[in-house]
Amino acid sequence: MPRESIAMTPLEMSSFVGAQKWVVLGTLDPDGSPWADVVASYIEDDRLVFGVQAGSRSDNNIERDPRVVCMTDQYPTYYEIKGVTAHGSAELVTDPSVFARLPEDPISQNSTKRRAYAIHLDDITSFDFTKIKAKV
Amino acid sequence: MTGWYDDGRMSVTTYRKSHKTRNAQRDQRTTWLVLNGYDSHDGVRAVEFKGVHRVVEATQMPNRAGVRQGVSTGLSSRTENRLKSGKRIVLEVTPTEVGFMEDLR
Repeated sequence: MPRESIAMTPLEMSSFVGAQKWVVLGTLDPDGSPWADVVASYIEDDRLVFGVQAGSRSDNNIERDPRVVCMTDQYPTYYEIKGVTAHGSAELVTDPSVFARLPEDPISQNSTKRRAYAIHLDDITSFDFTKIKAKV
Repeated sequence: MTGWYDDGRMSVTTYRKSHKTRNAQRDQRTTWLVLNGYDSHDGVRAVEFKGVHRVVEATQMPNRAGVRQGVSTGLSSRTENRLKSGKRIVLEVTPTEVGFMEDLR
């Protein structure tokens, strides 16, 4: 029997990610190994915009290699687990108005040097455990 | 994923054929982020483990006080059945660098 599909529809995906204030950002350290961060984000059209502190390890990693992954999930109980993973190439956003839309975080608040990037939401995987039929 | 912290190492169970298992078999360098949730009223906190991971052929999960919590008996017995059948494996990370993030709101 084929495995049941528990992926989200595009509408479910954008609604779920759009409701999140934070996403986990994965970047590549100089040796090619992964590094993770928690960053503020929002969805605009078909892009996910996120902010990092300028000069931070994540920011330096993106400047060197723009390949990133953004991931967000929820896990109140096992059968309510939902998650979305988006891979992309981060592009610098130079429009300063994006910062008004990004939730503030204490690190970036203390520094005026914040930097925004965006990825296109065209390489996405998702899972929604509420769609699992055979519960135990 | 069901997971636990024991004696300085983090472990989770996952499917043998999963993307992350294949990644782990190809490159042992890894970073794990353990979060308290994204919408916590107390602020978001996270612990980051950067290190090396390995695939462990286990048939059961530890079940000692303080090691594994919050997973129902039904789920853990199903997970253990799948470990025994070889459908699931354990991914274990030994940290070489640990970081903390606090009070993101």
